[in-house]
Amino acid sequence: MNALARWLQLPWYSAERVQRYFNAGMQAILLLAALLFSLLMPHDSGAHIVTLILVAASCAFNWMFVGARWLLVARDANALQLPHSHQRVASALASMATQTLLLPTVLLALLGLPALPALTLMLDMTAMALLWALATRWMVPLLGFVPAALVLLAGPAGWPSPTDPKFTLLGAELAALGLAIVTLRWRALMRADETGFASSWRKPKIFLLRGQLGMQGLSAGCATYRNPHAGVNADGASKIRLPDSTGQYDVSTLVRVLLGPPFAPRRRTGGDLRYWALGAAALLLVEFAAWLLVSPDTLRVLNAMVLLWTVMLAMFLVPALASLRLFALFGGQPAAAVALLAHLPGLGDPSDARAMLLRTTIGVAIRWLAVAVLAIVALWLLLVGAPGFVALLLVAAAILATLTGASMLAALSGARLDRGSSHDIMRRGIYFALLAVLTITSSVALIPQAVALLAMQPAATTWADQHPWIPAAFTVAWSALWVFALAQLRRHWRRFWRRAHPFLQR
Amino acid sequence: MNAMLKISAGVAPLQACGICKRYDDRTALDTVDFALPEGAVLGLIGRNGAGKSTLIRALMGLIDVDAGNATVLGEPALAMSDAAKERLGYVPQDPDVLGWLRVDEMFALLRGQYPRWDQEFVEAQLARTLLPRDRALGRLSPGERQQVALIRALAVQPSLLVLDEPAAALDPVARRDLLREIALRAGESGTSVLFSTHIVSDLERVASHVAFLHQGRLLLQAPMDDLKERYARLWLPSRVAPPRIVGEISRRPQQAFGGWSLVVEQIDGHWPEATQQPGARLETLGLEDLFVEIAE
Amino acid sequence: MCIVVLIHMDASSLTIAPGAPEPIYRQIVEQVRRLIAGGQLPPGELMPSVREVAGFHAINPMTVSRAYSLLEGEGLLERLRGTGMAVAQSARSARPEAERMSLIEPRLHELARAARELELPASRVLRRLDQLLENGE
Repeated sequence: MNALARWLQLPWYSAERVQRYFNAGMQAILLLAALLFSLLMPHDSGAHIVTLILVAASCAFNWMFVGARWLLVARDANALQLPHSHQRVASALASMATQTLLLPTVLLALLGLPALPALTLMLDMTAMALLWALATRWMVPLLGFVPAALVLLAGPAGWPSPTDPKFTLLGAELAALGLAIVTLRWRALMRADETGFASSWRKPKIFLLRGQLGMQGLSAGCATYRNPHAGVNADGASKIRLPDSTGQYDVSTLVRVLLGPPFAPRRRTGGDLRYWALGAAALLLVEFAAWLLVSPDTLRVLNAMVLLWTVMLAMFLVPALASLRLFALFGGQPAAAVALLAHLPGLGDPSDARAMLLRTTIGVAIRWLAVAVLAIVALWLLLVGAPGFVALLLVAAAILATLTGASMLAALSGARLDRGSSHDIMRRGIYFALLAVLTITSSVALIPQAVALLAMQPAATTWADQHPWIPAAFTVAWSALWVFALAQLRRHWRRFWRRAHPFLQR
Repeated sequence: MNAMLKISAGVAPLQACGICKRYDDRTALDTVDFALPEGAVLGLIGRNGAGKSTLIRALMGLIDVDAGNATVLGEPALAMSDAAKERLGYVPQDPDVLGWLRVDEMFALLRGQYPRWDQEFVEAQLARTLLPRDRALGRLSPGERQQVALIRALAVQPSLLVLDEPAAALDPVARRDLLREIALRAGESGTSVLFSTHIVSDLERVASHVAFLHQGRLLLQAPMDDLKERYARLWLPSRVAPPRIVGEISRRPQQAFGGWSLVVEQIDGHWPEATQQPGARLETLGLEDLFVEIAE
Repeated sequence: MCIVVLIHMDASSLTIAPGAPEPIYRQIVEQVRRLIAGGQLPPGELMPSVREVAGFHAINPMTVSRAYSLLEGEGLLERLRGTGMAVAQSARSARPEAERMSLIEPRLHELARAARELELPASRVLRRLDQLLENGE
């Protein structure tokens, strides 16, 4: 038993502790949501696709941020001449596959869902995730559009949906192709010289994750505080824009620049532009293909889905990254920037400095949130047009703002980044994940248009139609979450104001 | 100059009283009393993990302590006024700071905040050290980053200069330059300097005072010359542990010698009586030996 | 009486060993004392400034001024108005032999102890010392 437990734990040790807990939490939530969907969803609507998507997403998430890191472990073990390293890596990957692929498959089969198509879908997602991690950085934005392209092609080409048993063969072929490419790429990278790449632009994504706090690797633009290359682009130029060079800055600019990305004003560099341009080009290509292949109505739905998902992801991601950065600055190893701020003349009396710090950190995150929410509302009303969702979104955004404020205040008042009995970061990650899941499930449960969007078909019914108690249950859940978020905000707000000065560290 | 560190309250540029700091189950600082005399260059020495950085950060008002208080230039460390901050130069141990700024941008950004900023000094140092001024700080080597941080701290023309392991990342030439700069600043501008290190030879050159930190306790705090003259190693041949003697600082058994080696202190200009015992031998100690003897 | 080699005194003429058990100020005092006693530093010879010595050896200026003050107290150096320190006129160039001998006495004791501990025959040690003194090696 002990050996088995060790084998089961082994694959997760390639990632940092925070990343491990975050992954475990995400997986638990996604699988639970998948289970709920499969139990409550009307069986005839074909909406099991939601269950499958959730399961596959959890699987992809694990392989992107934990599984792929075994390449780094394998390389390092090789370099250190550790004995038996090949067997260890193989064993870890086998354990990972057992937990992320076999286990969910068995569970789905026990629930009476089509397990084989699910397994092949998960294998496809695994291959995608590994390709994402092993691909050169410039390919990463292109890879993001592969699933959308496949979905697009599926209709005209007559490919079966993943809920269809006939999907198994096609999915297996795709997975075999993907995994073959992954294997070749892995073998090539095992021998590649990590320092030999001309620029980070040409480096495989996985090497860029090295030394970064895993979660912050979610965004290539926002590396960790400890990484000295944070905020520096591939050519060594700074990404921060200084308003002018006269040496007279207003103090809030000064504070923002010292806090660094993502709070500092950014300078658009060539590297960033190339990255976005590639993404936009890929998007246009997909759009063009879609315009050729599908009917205008489907196209509208598709666009709405892609745009909404992107903005929603950004809405969640940016506050999360901003919080993480604050955790790194104030709760981790002593950061020199905070010491500099603590000793910087001209910030005014302590309460002025506090207000300034709040404006430049939480203020930036909340402003971003507001812009994202406005964008989502506008897109929704323009493309879908069901006001019920707008109300839901506003509630979700209010809670998100509260949670963001609470978690940033927790970071500013010295919650710990690395460890400790409370595992602050993990807990906070889970709150955000809970909110995300609640938003998605509520949308699907209460708003027919959302089901239509997710299932890509006109759905007449929602859960709420089938189970009249559902709206009440969601109201209770939302209220509970909001009360909880407000309590958190209040607690950390008080702690923040009780400190001797705002730039204390652990 | 020969006086021990007995400075009346409020005069010392840096002072601490009864500082305690615990992290989880580990005591980082255990009731530390500390004073940096005006115009002194005090070398804080201790093994890795002795609590040097924690003590410095507590003195600088960067962490909350569990007990005790610290004053910087006569003001509470946790509530310094701008007047005090303008006269303070501090370089933390790992100046990973501001990797996203160019060297010249960093100086441009800060100079507006310090009324006594010495841009000529910055220019001269940049020219002399050949630091690339248009490179992002994140792209510099650790030693270059350390140099930039030191230039920044010195450019404010501080009355109090606090450097946490300033020499760790520097090459020998840059290290010697830094020591020279510290020494001359102290001698000519009256700058009080606190620096931590575990490179004893650095300390021996420039320090006028030495403080030993060991396992969170300040074992010894004295003017450098006193330390060399007033402390010595006493070899006592004895199979059993001798009773604690007056003036004893530390002791450890010496198997090969068949007895004990003690670090003893002169009291009122006299060595302890135990030095007269048959077989006892008194030996002068260099700072490094003293450090090893006490810290082991 | 052998020929006295006069030296031009600058910061580099002093040898500083920071790691030695002897404090740096003492090292300076001893060296200047010996140089004056031996007549290599004649009266009136200008001493390097505190800043020069401190800067050259990267040592604390206070240590240097402490050494100079002690030497001034002994009457070996005198403070010139505006130009720093010089070897005092009263510090007679070559001291009586007995006085000079007393300066080397502690080192001879040390040498004798080391020779005894190593059980070296006195004649052998003396012969070698003779050689060293002759050749100025």
